[in-house]
Amino acid sequence: MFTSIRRYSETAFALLLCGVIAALAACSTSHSHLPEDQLRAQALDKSLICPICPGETIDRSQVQLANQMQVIVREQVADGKSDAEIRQFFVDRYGERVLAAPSKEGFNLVMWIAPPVGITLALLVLFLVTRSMLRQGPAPTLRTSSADSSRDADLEGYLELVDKELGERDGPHPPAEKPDTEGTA
Amino acid sequence: MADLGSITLLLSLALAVYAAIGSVVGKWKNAPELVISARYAAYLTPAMLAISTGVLVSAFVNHNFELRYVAGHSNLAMDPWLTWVAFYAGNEGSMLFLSLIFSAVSAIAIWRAPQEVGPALPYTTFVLMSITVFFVAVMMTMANPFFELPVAPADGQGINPLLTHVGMFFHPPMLMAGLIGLGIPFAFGMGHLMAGQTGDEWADTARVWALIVWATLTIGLLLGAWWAYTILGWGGYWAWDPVENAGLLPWLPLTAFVHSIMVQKRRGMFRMWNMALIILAWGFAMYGMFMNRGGPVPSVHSFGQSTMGWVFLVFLGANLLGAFALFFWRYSSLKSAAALESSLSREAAFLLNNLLFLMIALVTLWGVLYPLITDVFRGVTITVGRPYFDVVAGPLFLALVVLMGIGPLLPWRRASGQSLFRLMRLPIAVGLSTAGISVLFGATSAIPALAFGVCGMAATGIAREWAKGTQVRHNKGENYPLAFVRLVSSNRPRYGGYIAHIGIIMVAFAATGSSFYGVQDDFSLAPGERAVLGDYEMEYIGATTQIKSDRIEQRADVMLYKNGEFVKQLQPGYAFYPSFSMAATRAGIRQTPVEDLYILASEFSEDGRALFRLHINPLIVWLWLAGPVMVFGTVVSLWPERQKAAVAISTLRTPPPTA
Amino acid sequence: MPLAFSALLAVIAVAIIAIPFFRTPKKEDAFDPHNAEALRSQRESIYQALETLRLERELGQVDDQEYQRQLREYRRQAAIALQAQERVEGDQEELVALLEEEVLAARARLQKDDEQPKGDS
Repeated sequence: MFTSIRRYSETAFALLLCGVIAALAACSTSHSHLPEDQLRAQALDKSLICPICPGETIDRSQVQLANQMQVIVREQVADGKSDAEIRQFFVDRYGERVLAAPSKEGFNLVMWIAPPVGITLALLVLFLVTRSMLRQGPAPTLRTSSADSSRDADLEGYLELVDKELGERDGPHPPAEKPDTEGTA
Repeated sequence: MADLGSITLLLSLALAVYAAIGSVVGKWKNAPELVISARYAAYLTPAMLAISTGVLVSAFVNHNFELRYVAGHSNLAMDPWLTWVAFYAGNEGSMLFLSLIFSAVSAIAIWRAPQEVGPALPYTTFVLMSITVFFVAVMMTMANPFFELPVAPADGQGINPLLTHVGMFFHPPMLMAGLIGLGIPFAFGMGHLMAGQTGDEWADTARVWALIVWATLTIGLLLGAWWAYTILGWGGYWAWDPVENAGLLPWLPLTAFVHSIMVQKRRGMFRMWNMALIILAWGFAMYGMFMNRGGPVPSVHSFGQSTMGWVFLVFLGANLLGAFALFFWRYSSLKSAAALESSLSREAAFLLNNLLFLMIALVTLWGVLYPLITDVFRGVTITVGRPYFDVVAGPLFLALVVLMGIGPLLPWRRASGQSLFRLMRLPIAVGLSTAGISVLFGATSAIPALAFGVCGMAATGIAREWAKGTQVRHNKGENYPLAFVRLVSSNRPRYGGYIAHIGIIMVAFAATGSSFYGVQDDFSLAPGERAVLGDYEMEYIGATTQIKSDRIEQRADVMLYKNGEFVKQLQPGYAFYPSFSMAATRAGIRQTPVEDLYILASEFSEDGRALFRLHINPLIVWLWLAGPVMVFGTVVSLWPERQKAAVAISTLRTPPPTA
Repeated sequence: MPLAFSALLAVIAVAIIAIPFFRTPKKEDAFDPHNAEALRSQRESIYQALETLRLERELGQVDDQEYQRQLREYRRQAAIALQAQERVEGDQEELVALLEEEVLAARARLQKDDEQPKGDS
């Protein structure tokens, strides 16, 4: 049995790995060596919203103001200011709406905390409910065996018909197996 | 001619009202003739709306500018083929389109409803026709496409230039059809509750329609992403913009629903979940429609200056109230018929699946509502954009892909713990190798490495099912191709689902590559100069300006080289439409399975200088390829199988039954 | 012209929705064939579940013991559904036979009435 598993699983493994490797290797070539400062500036551009545009970051916007803001960002990055300081600079001038996502302070902390807390709670509830459902034991249909063995005698003829129908469904394949005779541990 | 349009609208409204009321009254008063009559009215409604649509289309084709709507959305210079299909582009026409599509699909759904929902069908018809009445009534009173101007202008204003791109052309109707299509499974659910049916009668037909709508909505969303990528010109495809979110929100519970409904079909479980999921999906869909028609956020998606939004909000409220009232009234009939047998089972996986999708929907909704909350409580305007959604929704989507990798390995009811462990070894091994190799090749940060690993793991899980299933059939005597085809054919929902999952893995793959490894840079070039980004070089030849009848096209001729070798010639630029004061970008894109080189050209100046932005976007093409894959998977999943159980028992018994 | 056409449309629509009121209603619900049909499709679902179970075993997801347990249970359920369907069909055949008898009896009574002289009222 192990050899047959080997046969198909190895092919699958190899094919997949090859495909994935090729794509990934290619991805890495896109790791252009832009200077660190420029990368930082681009990231900042994407985190600041142009105040007079409908929800566009200054990275996307074509407006004069957005271009000016980009210039300021680069100046400040060159001056050695930190990301937080640069963002604060713009917030001081245009208000919080200039940020693409709320800061993680004050009231806005609620916004950031709520999702992880909510998800954790939900998973906890799921876990507890599932556990109590499983504790209730198997569903009544599973408690076959003794109580219904008397009915099995009536059903004998019908069980044969069931097997017959199953056999017809399979067509050219061998018919469905009958279960082992009662008494399996 | 416009009179014919208005009259058929009125007739369709009357028919829909009759169909809705007649169904319910006929059911209550036990008058089957009335129920059938109402059903005929439901079939006639789309016929009337089709005539209305025909009138509107002919008005466009014949340039009948007497109609305010035609004058506002077309002109004499429009391409002839465009005049045939442009009618849905504005608010009024889109309402007509929605009404036509919805009433037509409703008619089919009613006609093809299976026997077991028979007792509930009059109620389902009532819900379907009530929705139709809403759309037609709102259209007639607030957005009449047949409104005539006192004096017909000599020429119209033309179509929104953004709509002339083929991707944008199909995106609105697909998305609209997907959103409103959710009303169909919703109506079956409501009908089930109203009729007091206690089993799983609505599950089969709800699954079929939910899957059809899912494929439509998915394609609609992908087309929107494609259009954003090629026309909006910011180098990306999904910005978590409020209107994009409005399209995503219904997709989430719908995807959960198409999985969870299988558990109900098979075992009579998750009845409450499914009812809640479909109500949620429909609620979000109407919220989406509200956002598109004068919602609080101006965006490229708004249908001009529309003030209809509040009407949809009211409709949304009424639907949700009614639905939840029904839900709680029939609460006891929604108890499960069977219990979860093991936490290691396909059912348990689907339960977790439901929860994850619900969580993603809720965090997305949170991000959408939070600015409104802040506005109300603090009076401050803030934006919740990409940084939030990427960070919060990203890991949840990743968890879904992980679940997608484990799911195929889980049998129904109860897995044998040991066999699951044995089955997981290979996918986990491939996943770890993939992650490891990606680190080797430069994916030094944890998240993309993990994401690639998860994609590898999920793909292996699916591939294994296919390979092993084919192998087993082969061992019984079928040759490999036949075994493969027969395997899929005898388990269509399962393998159709796996095909769709492969599509999702492709999306995850593309999203990971493009989110983490994209590079961009800006260049100001004079003709003859070159720009360098990564292994690519772009030479700027010169700018060309073409003045067309309704636009001015500014293009830059560029030659692209990779590793020194010439690859392609492109013409990035834009088209400026003076009458709309709008520019439509034409990005120059060179696409390979590995990455896109994406070029934007702007700010052409007198001396020939232009500003270029170059992007390297890895793995984007897999996003577009995923669309057809998912549609194919849905088709396989829905392909009907011949039912083989004997219709009459007497035919089973070869000797005649003993008297 | 458009008005005339619209009027025609309205008339056709009204005619179509009026049809059911003039047709003799088919007594399709009398025997409630839903019952037998519901049992048959229930059996079909069980068979499909069995086929999936077989696939799961071939894929190595369920061990032999679990397989036998579920196989036994599904076969029993299918047999019970078969039995119920046959019973419903038997009842329906009885019902049809009863109705035929009644129709014959009614016809016989009518014939007798016709043969009697037209007496009082």
